Amino acid sequence: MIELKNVTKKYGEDTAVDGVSLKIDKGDFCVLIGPSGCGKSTTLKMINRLIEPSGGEIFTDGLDVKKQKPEILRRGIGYVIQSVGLFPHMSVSDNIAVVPRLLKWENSRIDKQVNELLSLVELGSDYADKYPHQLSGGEAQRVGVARALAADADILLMDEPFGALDPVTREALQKGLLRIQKKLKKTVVFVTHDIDEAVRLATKIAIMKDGRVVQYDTPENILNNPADKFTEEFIGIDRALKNLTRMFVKDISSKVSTVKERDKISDVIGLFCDKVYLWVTDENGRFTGWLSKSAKLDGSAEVKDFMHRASSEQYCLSTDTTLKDALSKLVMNGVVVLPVSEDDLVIGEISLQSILESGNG
Amino acid sequence: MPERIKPCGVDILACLFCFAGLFFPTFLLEKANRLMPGDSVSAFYPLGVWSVIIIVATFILVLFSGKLNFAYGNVLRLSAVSTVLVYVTVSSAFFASNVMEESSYARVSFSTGYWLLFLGCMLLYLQAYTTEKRQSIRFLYTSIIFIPLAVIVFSGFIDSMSVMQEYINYAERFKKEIVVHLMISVGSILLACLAGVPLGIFSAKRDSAGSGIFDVLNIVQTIPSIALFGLLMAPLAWLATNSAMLKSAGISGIGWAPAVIALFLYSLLPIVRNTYEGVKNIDDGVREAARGMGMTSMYMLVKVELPLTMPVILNGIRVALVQSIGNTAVVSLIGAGGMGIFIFQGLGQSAVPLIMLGTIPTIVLAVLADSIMQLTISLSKGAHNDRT
Repeated sequence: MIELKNVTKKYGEDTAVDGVSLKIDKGDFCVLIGPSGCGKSTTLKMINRLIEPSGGEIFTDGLDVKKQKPEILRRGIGYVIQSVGLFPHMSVSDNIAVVPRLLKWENSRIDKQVNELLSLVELGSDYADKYPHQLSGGEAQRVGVARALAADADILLMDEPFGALDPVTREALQKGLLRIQKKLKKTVVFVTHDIDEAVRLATKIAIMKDGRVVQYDTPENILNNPADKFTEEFIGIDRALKNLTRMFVKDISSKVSTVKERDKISDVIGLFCDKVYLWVTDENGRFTGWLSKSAKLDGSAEVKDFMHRASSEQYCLSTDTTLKDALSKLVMNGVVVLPVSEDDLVIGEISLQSILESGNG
Repeated sequence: MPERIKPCGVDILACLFCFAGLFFPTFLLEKANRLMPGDSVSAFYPLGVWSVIIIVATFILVLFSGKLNFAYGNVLRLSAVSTVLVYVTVSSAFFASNVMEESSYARVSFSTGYWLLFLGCMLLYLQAYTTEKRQSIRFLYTSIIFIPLAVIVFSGFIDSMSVMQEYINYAERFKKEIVVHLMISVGSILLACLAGVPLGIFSAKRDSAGSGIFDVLNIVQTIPSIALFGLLMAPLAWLATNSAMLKSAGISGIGWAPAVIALFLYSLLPIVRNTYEGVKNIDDGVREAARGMGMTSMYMLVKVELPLTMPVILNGIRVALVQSIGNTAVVSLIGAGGMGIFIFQGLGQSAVPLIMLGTIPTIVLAVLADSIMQLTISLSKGAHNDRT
């Protein structure tokens, strides 16, 4: 748990942070967001005393940070920065082992920890002996995250960690971070200026402007009820779509019966009910196309004679697709319903209607 | 087939030097005794016509095989160069011993022609050395050229040459002075490291202090060495007369004390400057990460900043060391000894071989120090800089 009480930072006449109070519960993923110069990074760095506040109090797990030696305090708080800051003269495993070594862990424990962390951040153990210059930007930041987690700190501070990465890599790392957070339940404070990133990752978002917190709430509440005009503009006109990025196909997919290519039309015609399409699969349950409801269907023929063949790549949605991406796929294909697949097997479908309903709720 | 066999610029220049040397009228210098003005001896006397023709042919081959990229081409070419160099040197020495048999006072010394040839060979070696990236092959090139030369010098093959005659006359003195030379130059560098590295770190951490330190060091660097000795003489002499302890420690206005202090001052600038640059150039992200992870400033200095800066610092030490070995040649002027003794004595007597006796070892020491430091630097870069 982290608590900021009326924290202020002044540089001479300028006030960078102006009376910020935040309570971040254990296990929360709190994103500080705002335009450049709003004081979000300064606020973050005051938590591990890289910047000393001019006024106010900060507590981590109930302890006043000012009462702890800065070095000791920081060893108990994971820290990830945009420029990664891996030590170029140390191998990946040595980089990860820095804080455990500072804490004088035994070597066997350090080795075990390094291996676990490498697999946690989806880098194989063959990365252990590589040097930072041999890593891509995304790999380097994975190591950066592993390094911050190395000493099992409960608190993780992340200062625009994915800001310098390309969109594809950034998304992969965001997914990875969500997965790790689900498993480890750290108390995370994450600074970004990317509202999409904030909505995707946060359980709480603090919107900052001119050194003050304008709104501090769950992403859903912020997107649905922006506190003022600034917040509304900041989260953007597509805030309804952003809300969809927090929801996944698996949450609203409905079960559906599929038909096989070799089935007789007369056997399957009853499955249509009020539907227009039936999803067709091969013998193993893989998507191969659909059968449209029409008067021309000849009961004695097989499904494959009348079906429309299509690739699963183009039409199938996987269960971990966000609703925003699902909506995009519906629009792209100009349809109102698409099949959902898991491990290549069709397990359900998702309709435009169901997305609209969940977007409003 | 290689597209066209065209020699490169440096090789042409090197071979021109070699040819100029071979055909220069004064290849060797023959004197009735060591202080008399000498007579020119062309390369044809010690070598003979046929040898000269073969050597010219060898260089032409070396020149035109430059672009042939067959395996170990440069090894073969340098072996040829090395053979020529050894043959010419030994033949000259043979000629000299014949002359000395007629009159034991007569002296034969290497002269302009020989040195031009020598320079040309060195250029060929350097050209091969600098275009080769693999450290091991570079080492091989150096061995091919210098080991045979070292062997003929140390095994007495060229004892009849005047340089070696001077060495034989001054052997005891030479051995003593070369140790003095090394002690003064290396000692002053050690002191400069002890002071310069902390000073560089300090000025990198405190910018305000940095500019002041560099102002002072830059001024020191502009003072000519002789003038600096003069400036140090008075205060050191005063200290020595007023403190019995300092005097008994051997400190006085002349001798090793002002020499070491002056060389120490000269060495500070490259060492402080490189340390400063190295520490300054560490990525801010690395420093922020180190602090954010809970390193104390001391731990960060020892585990992060110094290891990352070490190659740059060592490079500063390398520059300072080479410069210091060269400058030590001057300190014999204030009675501190070293190779300068022979140089200035030779200058006084117009005895070029004696000057060479002081100069050549100084150059060899500087080159050796340079390559040792280069090796240390590449080792200090370690695995994280192994880019292929």
